[in-house]
Amino acid sequence: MKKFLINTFIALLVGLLPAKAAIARTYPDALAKAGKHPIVIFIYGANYDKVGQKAHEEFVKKNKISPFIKQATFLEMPLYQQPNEREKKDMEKRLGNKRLPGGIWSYPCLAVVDSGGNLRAVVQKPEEMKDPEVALAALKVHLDNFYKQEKILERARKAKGDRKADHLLEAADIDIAMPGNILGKNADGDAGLGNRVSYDPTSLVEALQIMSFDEANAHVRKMMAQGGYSKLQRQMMMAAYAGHLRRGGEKKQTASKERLRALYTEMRNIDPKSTYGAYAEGALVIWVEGGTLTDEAVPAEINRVGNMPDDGNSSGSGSSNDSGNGSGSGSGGSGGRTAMGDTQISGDDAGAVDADFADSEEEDEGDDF
Amino acid sequence: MSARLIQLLAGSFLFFCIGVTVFPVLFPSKVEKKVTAVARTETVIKRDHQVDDWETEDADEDDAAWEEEPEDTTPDRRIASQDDETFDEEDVPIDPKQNVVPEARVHAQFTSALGEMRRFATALEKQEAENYKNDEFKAVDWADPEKIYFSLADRILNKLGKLDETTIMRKLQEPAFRLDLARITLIRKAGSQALRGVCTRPKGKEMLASLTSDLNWMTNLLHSGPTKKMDQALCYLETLYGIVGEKEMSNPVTRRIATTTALEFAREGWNENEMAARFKYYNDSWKEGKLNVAFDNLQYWETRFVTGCKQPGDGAGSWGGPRNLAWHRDNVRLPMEQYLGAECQLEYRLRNVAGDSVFSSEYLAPIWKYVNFTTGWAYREIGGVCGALSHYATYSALAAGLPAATMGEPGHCAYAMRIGNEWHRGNSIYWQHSLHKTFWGEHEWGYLILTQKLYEERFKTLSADIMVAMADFLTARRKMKAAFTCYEIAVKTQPNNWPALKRYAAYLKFKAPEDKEKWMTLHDAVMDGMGKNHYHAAATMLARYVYPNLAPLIKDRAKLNKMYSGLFSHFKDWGANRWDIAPILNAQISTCATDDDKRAYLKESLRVLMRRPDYSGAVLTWGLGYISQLPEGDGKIQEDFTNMLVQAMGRAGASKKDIDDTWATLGEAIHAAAKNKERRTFQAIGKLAYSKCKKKFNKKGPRIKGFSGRVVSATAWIDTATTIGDMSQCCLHWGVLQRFGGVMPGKFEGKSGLTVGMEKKCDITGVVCVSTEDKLKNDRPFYIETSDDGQNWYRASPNGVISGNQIRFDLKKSNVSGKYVRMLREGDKYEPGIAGFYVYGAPQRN
Repeated sequence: MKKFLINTFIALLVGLLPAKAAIARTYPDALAKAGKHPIVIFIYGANYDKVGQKAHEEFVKKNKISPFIKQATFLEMPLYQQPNEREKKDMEKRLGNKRLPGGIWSYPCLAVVDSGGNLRAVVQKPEEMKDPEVALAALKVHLDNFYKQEKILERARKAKGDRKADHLLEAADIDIAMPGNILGKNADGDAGLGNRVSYDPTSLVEALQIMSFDEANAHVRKMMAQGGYSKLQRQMMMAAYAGHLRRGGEKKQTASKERLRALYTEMRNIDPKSTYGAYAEGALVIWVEGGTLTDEAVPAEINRVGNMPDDGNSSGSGSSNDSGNGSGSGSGGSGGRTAMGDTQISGDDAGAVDADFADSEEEDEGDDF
Repeated sequence: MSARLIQLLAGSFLFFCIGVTVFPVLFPSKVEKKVTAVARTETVIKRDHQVDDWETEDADEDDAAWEEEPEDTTPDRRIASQDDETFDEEDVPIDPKQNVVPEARVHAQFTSALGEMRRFATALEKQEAENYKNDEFKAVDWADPEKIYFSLADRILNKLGKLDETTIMRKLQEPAFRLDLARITLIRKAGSQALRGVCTRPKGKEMLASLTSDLNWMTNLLHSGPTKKMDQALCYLETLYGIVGEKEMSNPVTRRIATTTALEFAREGWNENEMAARFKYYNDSWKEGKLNVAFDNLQYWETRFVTGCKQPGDGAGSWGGPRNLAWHRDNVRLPMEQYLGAECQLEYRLRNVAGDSVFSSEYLAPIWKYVNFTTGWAYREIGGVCGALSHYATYSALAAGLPAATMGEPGHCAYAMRIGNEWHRGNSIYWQHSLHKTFWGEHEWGYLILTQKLYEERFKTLSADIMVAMADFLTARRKMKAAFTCYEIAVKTQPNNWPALKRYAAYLKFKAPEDKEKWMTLHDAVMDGMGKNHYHAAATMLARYVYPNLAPLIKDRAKLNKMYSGLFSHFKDWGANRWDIAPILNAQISTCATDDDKRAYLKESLRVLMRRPDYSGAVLTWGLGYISQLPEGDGKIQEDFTNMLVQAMGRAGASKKDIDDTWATLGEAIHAAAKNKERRTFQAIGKLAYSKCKKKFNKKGPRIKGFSGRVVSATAWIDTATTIGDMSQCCLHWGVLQRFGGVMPGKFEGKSGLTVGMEKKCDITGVVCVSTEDKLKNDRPFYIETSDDGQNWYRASPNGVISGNQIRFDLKKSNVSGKYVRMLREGDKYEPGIAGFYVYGAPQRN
């Protein structure tokens, strides 16, 4: 009995110890071992890249990586340029009959892959990879996001209907790629995420080309109101819409600067740090302010209509009237009145939406709004 | 009286003296002017070809007295920079023994010389490791390059003695002798005046002393590819020498980067600041260990592809600026093999997400600051079309220090990338490649492969190049016999040496233009050497540099035609890549003086080429194009040519074994007929293809509901706006006009669409177009335009009605007529396949 109690105590103690990372020798081995945990693959140029070799020294040989990977499975993957026979064998052995996931742009990198072989995140920027501390901090964020997303996806798998759709959207908003085929065959049931998956920015541009400004406003507004789109996608929609107004077109004059200011400000505020946040910022400088982009810093604050604090979920720049019932993902987002108009406006009403801005426009500018 | 006389004489003498003193000052004669100029610009050598700078100046002065001045006898010691196109002979006494053209030699007579050249190549390899140095000429000596030149010229000639080939080749195996020749070559390539200019730069003399004391450095500078604008290259090298100093410049990699950067920037005419920035990028990247390790072992010629990459300017839109290169280097680090295909990192977008065209300045405008004005980064964020994609992959490799180059294709941009020692095509969709980086100004793929193969045989090529340098020197010293010998041994040693062959052909034209045997020997040397593997280059060499000189010397037309057709029977296939044979055939036929000559030529060419499946389509295409360009005249030759071509096509085999070749040949020909708007030929080839290759066509056509009248387009030609790379399926274009249908790629964008040219002007009742797509896009209207002349077009209404895979234009009430009909579409580019196109109506009577 005493022996039993001691053994039990030891077992409990072992269970309480922090889980140790598994180290895989081959990629198929890593996929088999991973289970619900991620695989972290350190991929580097072994025979052609001094930067990669240095990173290997830092990350692997000096073992700086192991405290960060915890329950994940770790795999070291050397890449060879014009491999000789020995190197070819080494690569074949490590890869087995599998191929590394696509989507990696540069080596060395730390790839986060799930047991299905999906690339979920990758640390590959030179400014991250040159410093192990920075890289590993970025890796930790990805690993945390991985677990966070998996947890929500697990809930989604158990749920049905709208609840499932909500969970999927919540998971998709986490800054890490979703596993492939998450929608399965039941795409209609997960309508919000379905929008996100099927979104094609080029089609939207083409569709807007032949629309009047009113129709374009209604079209974009309706899309946003449907929800499910990521911040990036909403910024792209705004870019398409603002671009349509900026160019004008046959029998249409271009929109007023005030209108463009409002739209680009709204676009920027959806996610100022993203590429399209920066695009909007640039658009404000060159197409609204009439300035040029130089190496000099942009003035911190340009007096723009609707330059309001961003709540991170809004489809628009926000205003005191934001009612929080719009298309934003994750935590519900905001709708209501924006620089573009009402997020829930019907196509028929679109022309009346921006009457507030009419005063600021010159009479002859022919803005269809 | 006598005193008065004395006074008068004294006065006259004084006046004379004053006159003698003052007159030349006020009215300097030509001679004195020149002396003054010489005094200003140091000593100058008189050269045959040299243009006297002030002859034109004097002519304007309209002073006959100047014309009668005696010629300047002051020796002009200046050595002008020598280019690869001309030959400069110095004003030296002619040795009668050397003033003869040696007899043409057959290959067997070169056996001994080629053995010696092999030993020479071996010696070069061995001696490179030892790196011979000799600092005989100090920095201060370079202030007078002419002095160095003449002392070296005398020394070389003294050492060579009788100037027999054995002595020359043996002497060249001595590093000290080669260094002397290299110094001579450098002075001749840069020109003595330019060297003086280099000496006036802060580190000029020091750099020249250092450079010219190092045989390896000199060899790599002079023999790693083209040396155009050597004077500028030396100035650039001085700049870099000044930046890094002697110690760092002695590092072989830094020296290689500096030399190749200087050579390439000078050759391309790019500016000094950008040159220094490019050097700094590669030198710093290499020192920091950021380049692919393959860069460490590149030879000079390969490095020139890297350090000489295009678009050196920095900032938005430029790919080769240091900022962009650094971004690619750090953000697209891949093993060599993966750069091929790296364009997949970019989204293909004709318009950005805001709808701005990739060809507009708005496309990337707002993003530049975010991406720090970095071109590759901007396109990775926003996407782009073929140009951006191909540049992205290319500059990713170049930034890592790996040879690559973008290249044009018809309406497309692709790239070439070297993996190991093999060049690969990236993002390529057509066979016509026009490389943006070349050594000899020849842009086709075959020359890239030739360049690779040439310099892969490094020491063999180097031995030939040094022999050419020797020949150039002997030419300058009017040693014609020895010069001929050296040129001939050089091209025999390395038959793939394009620049050496070109130079020899030019010398032959200069010195012995009517020596038929020599031209025949050169012809055979090209065929047996370069013609073994590099078909395009060999054919071009003959067409450009041999035929125009050799053909007039061959009086027997039949023999000449045999020689011409023999070129193609000599080639196994297309070689490294398909190439355009039209310039070769044009060069051959241009030597025909009469129409009868032309007929005989075409007959012989068709006899040989139609038996060659690779070339048969191309020769038909050329023939059809040739006919369309002939002046109208009485039309007899056009008719004869057309008949000969059609007969040749008719002889194409239709057996199971031949059918694919015949199909491809006729496809290429029908494509040419459509492009030339040759309706009759188009129809003739279509019918021929249908009779010979019926199985290739559909059995049953699409079901359509027609309009009143008959299908007037059945006997027309049809053409698409799409650029077609593989023309083997083009006979199906003819099928598109027939009841059973066919297939052709459609492309609708602006005023580009689908065009048919009918036999006569017709009254049109309707048009039906059937697509290969099940459901055509219907967000934009298709519309019809008609024309009487193919130039002036009128839009017909109504627009087409799209239903599933068909577009129907009901023009019954529109009163539409025309000889030409085209279908267009509003909006962005759309490229549906076309299965059938039928114009209904009735031909007009007149």
